[in-house]
Amino acid sequence: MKTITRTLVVLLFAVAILAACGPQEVEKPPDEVTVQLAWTHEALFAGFYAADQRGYYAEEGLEVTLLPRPEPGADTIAVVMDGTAAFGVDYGAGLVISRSQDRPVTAIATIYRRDPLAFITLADSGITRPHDFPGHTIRTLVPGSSAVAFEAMMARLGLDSDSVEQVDVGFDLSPFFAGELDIWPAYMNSTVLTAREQGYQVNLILPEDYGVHLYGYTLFTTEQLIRENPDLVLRFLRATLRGWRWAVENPAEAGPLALKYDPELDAAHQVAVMEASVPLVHTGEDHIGWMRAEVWQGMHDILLEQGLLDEAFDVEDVYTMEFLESIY
Amino acid sequence: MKLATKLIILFLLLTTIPLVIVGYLAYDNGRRTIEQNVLNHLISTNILKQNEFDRWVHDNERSLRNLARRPGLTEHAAVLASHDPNDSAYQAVYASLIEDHLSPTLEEEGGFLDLSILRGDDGLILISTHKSLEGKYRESESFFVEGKKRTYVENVAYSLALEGLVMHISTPIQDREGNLIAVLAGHADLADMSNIMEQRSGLSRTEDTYLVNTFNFFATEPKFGEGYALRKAIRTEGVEACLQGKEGVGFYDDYRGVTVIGAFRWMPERELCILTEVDQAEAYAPVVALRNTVLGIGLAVALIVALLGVLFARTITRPVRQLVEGAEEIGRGNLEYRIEVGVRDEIGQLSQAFNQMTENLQAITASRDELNREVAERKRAEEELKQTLAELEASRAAALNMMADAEEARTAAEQANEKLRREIAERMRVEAELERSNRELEQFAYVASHDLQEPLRKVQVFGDRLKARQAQAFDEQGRDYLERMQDAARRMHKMINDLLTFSRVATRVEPFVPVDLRQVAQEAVSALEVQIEQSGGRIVIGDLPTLEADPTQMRQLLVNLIGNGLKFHRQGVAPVVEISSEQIKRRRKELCQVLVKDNGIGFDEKYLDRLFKPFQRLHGRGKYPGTGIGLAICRRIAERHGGSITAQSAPGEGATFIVTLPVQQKRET
Repeated sequence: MKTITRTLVVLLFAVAILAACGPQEVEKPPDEVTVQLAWTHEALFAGFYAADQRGYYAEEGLEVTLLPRPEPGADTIAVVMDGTAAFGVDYGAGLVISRSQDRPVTAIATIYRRDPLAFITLADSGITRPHDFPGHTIRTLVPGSSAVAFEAMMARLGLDSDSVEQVDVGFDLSPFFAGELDIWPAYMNSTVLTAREQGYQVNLILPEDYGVHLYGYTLFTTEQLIRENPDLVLRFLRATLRGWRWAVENPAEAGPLALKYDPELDAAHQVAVMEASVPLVHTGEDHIGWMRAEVWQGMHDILLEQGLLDEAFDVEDVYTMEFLESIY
Repeated sequence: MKLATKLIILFLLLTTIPLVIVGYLAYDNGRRTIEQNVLNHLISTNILKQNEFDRWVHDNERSLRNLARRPGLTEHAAVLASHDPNDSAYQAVYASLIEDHLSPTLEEEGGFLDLSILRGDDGLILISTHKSLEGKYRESESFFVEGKKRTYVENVAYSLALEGLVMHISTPIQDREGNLIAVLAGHADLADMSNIMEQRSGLSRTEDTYLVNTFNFFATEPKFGEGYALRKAIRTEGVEACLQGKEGVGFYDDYRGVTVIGAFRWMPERELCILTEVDQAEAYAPVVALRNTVLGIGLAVALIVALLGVLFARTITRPVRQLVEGAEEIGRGNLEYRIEVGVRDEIGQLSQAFNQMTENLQAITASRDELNREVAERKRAEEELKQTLAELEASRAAALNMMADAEEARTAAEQANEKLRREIAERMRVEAELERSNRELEQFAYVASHDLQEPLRKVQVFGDRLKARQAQAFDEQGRDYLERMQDAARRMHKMINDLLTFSRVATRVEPFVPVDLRQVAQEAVSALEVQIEQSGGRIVIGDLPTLEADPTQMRQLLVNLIGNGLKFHRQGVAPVVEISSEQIKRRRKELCQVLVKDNGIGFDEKYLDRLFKPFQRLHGRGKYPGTGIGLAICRRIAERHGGSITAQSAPGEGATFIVTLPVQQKRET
C-alpha cells in the first residue's frame, strides 16, 4: 500500500515537473486592431462586444479597440481611410457611394443584412403604405442613408417624393407622438422600440416591401489592408462572426455586454435592442454576415438612379466574398 | 486464515460467481432488448413524423397547385396584372377572387394562413387575404423567383412584415399558352407543422420531436421550450451530427442539459433536421428495474449461502476446535486433560488416538520425572561435599599466611625503628652544632664590627683634624691622599654600621606585636623624604594589613625596599614605587604578601641569588651608592619572621619585590 502511494506521489510530481518544463511557446504579442463603429455604444454592436468580452479576439491573437461614432453624421469611412481604424462599420449604400468618391474601401461582411430603417406612422393615422404618403409631413431625411431609401421607395412606386414635406424637428420623438408630423424615419432596433416602450402603436412601412433592398451596417476595411495582411482580416472577421453568432443565439446575455463600454445604458433596453436586431442579422436565409451580389447591384443601381454616383461601375469592387467563403 | 472463514468464502465463491455471471448476462440481455426497443421506437417515430411532414407539405402544394389551375382564377389574375387598381374591371375581379377562390380555399383546405397573388413581372402583391400585404413587392424573395418556374416550398424563415416565422409555398399561374401571369403564394400554417411534431405516440412522458434548421436554430417549438423557434440555437451532439447529413442514434445531453437517447435524421429536401429524443432516465427505467431485481435476487442468494456456509462450517470446525484446545491444554503440561468429542467421524478417531497418546505420555513422564529427581538430589549432595572441602583448605592456607606475615612485619618494624633512632640522633647533633656555629659567628661579627669602630673613628677624627689644621702644609698630591683616606674611612664606617645592623637582626630581638604595616610604610616614606624629593619620585601606598611582627624591623624592611626603588631609577624617568599587599593561604596558614613595585632599571632574574647576599652588588659602586647589604638585611628580617623574600624583574622593566610574611607568629613556648 505504502509503495503504491509513494509511486503515485512520485508519478504526480513527475507529471507536474514535465508539465512545467513542457515546450513553452513564445507568445506573439497580440495585433492591435481598432474598429470604428457606426453609432454610439449600444447592443446594436453586440457581436463585436461578445467577440471582445468572450475572448474570441484574444484567441485569434487580436487586441481590439472599439470606437463609438463621435457624432451623428461623422465620416467613419475617413477614419478607416486614414488608418486610425483598421476596420469600420457603415451602411452598405454609404460604402458604394464612397467607392465612387475614390475612397477604395471594401466590404467584407454585412452584419445587418436587413436594413433596420422603417418609416413609422401612428397606428390610428391611416397611413399604412407609401401610397398614403403624399400630402403628409416627414421628419427631415438624412442624406446618404434614410434619404436614399425614401427616394428609392417613392421612385419605385412612381410616387413624387416632393409631395411629402420634410419638417426639421430634431431627433426627439415627442412632436411625432403629438401628431405634429406624420411620418418618422425610424430604426427597427432603436426608435421603434422606444416608441413601443412608451406605449405607442405604430405602423411599420419597410422599404424592403417595396423593392428597395439595402444592406444595413456592413463591416469594411481598406483595399490596402486586404492586400497586405489578409490573414489579419480573416482572423478579425472570424472572431467577429463568432461573436455575432453567440449574440444572436443568446440575446438576453448579449444585450447587457454594451454596458461595459457605456455604463449609463439600461440593461433591459439593451436586451430589447438585441432581440429586435436578431432577425435583421440572422434572417434564416443565409449565414450571418453573408452578402449577395444582387443586393449590392441593386444598391448601386438605386444610387446611380438618384444621381449619387457619377457613373456606373463594377459593383464587385465594393465587396469581397473571399473571407466569408473561407470561413463558412 | 481460519478454517471457518475459508469454508464460508468458498461457499460464497461457488454460488456467487455463477450467480453474477448469470445475473449479468440476463441483465445485459434485457438492457440490450429494452435499449433496442427504445431506439427502434425513436427511429420509427422520426420516419413517421417525416412522412407526416412531407404529406402535409405535399397536401399544401397540391391544394395550391389546384387553385392556381382554376380557369377563373387564371383569368382574374390576368386582369389584375394588367389593369390599374382604380379600373372598374380590376375592382370587379378583385372581389370575385377573394370571395370565390382565395377565401373558400383558405377555409376549406386549411394548412394556409393567407393566400396572395403576386404579379409575375415585378413581384407586386396584387391581392391577398392578408390585406396589409397588398401593394408590397416580393421580387427578390426566393418563393417568388422560384415560384415563377415551379411549385416551390421555402424554408422556414423570419418575416419582418409579419414579425414572425413563415414558410412560403408558391406556384406559378399561367395562361393557356403557358405564359406566366402571376405567382400564387401562401404562408403555410407553421402551427400545423408544430402539431405534427408534438403529436406523441403516447408511450413516453418525455418524448420530444423537433426540427432544427441548417443554422442550428430550432424550426419548431420543442416540448420543453417556448419561443425557441428561430430564436434559440441548439448545438447538441445529435444536431451537430445530423447537420453534417448523418442519420443515427446517440446518447447525449439535449438543449436542457438532460441526458437523452436521441434519433436524428437529415431531410435534405427541406434542409431540416428532425430529432426525436427521450430522457435516458425514463427510457432506462425498465433497465434500472431489471438491474435492481437481478441485484436483489443476487444479494438474497448470497445472504442465504453465507448463512448456510456459517452453519456448515460450524459443524465441521467445532470438533476440530475442541481438538485444538485439548492439544493446547496438554501442550501446557496438563496431562490429566481428555478431549471430549461426540462425533464418530475421522475427527472423533483422531481425538481418541490423541487421548490414548496423552495417557501413554503421562505414564512415561511420571517415571522419567522420578529418575530426574534422584539424579538431581545426588548431584546436589556431591556439590555440597566439594564445597565444604574447598572451604576447609582455604582456611588452613589463610592461617599459615597470617603467621608468616606477622613475623615479617615485626622484623621490618624493628629495623625501621632502629634506623629512625639513628637518624634522629644524627640530625639533633648536626642542628646543635649548626646553632652553636651560627651563634659564634654572629657574636664574632658583632664584636668584630663593634671593636672595629673604635680604631676607625680615630682614623676619621685625626684625618679631620689633619685636614682642618695642616691642609696648607700638604701639596696637591698630599691633599688628594688625605681626601681619599677620609673617603675610605667613611665607607668603612658605613660598612661596619651596616654589618652591625645585619647582625643585630638576629641578635637584638624584640618581641612580636601587632603592627599596622600601613602606618609603618608611612613612617618609612617620611624617613626617605629627602631622597624622594631629590629624585622627584612618588610613593603609592596601597591597602596594607596588620600582622604580628617586629615593628622596627618592618620599618627597616620597607625603608630598604622603597629606598632601592628610588635609587635604581631609570635615567630621566621619575621613580614611582607602589606598595600593596595580598592575602594568601598556604598550607592552612594565613600569609600576607607585601609587594613593592618600582619602575626602575630592573635586573636580569638570573642574578636573583646574588641579590640577597651581603655585599653583593649588580652595579659598580660609582654608579649607584651603597654597601650592598640592604637586601641581605631584608632577607634576614623576612626569614626571622618565618617568611621569605623574592623578586620579579627584567632589565629596563622595573622590579617587584615580594615579601611573604605570616599574619600570626607561632606561639613560642
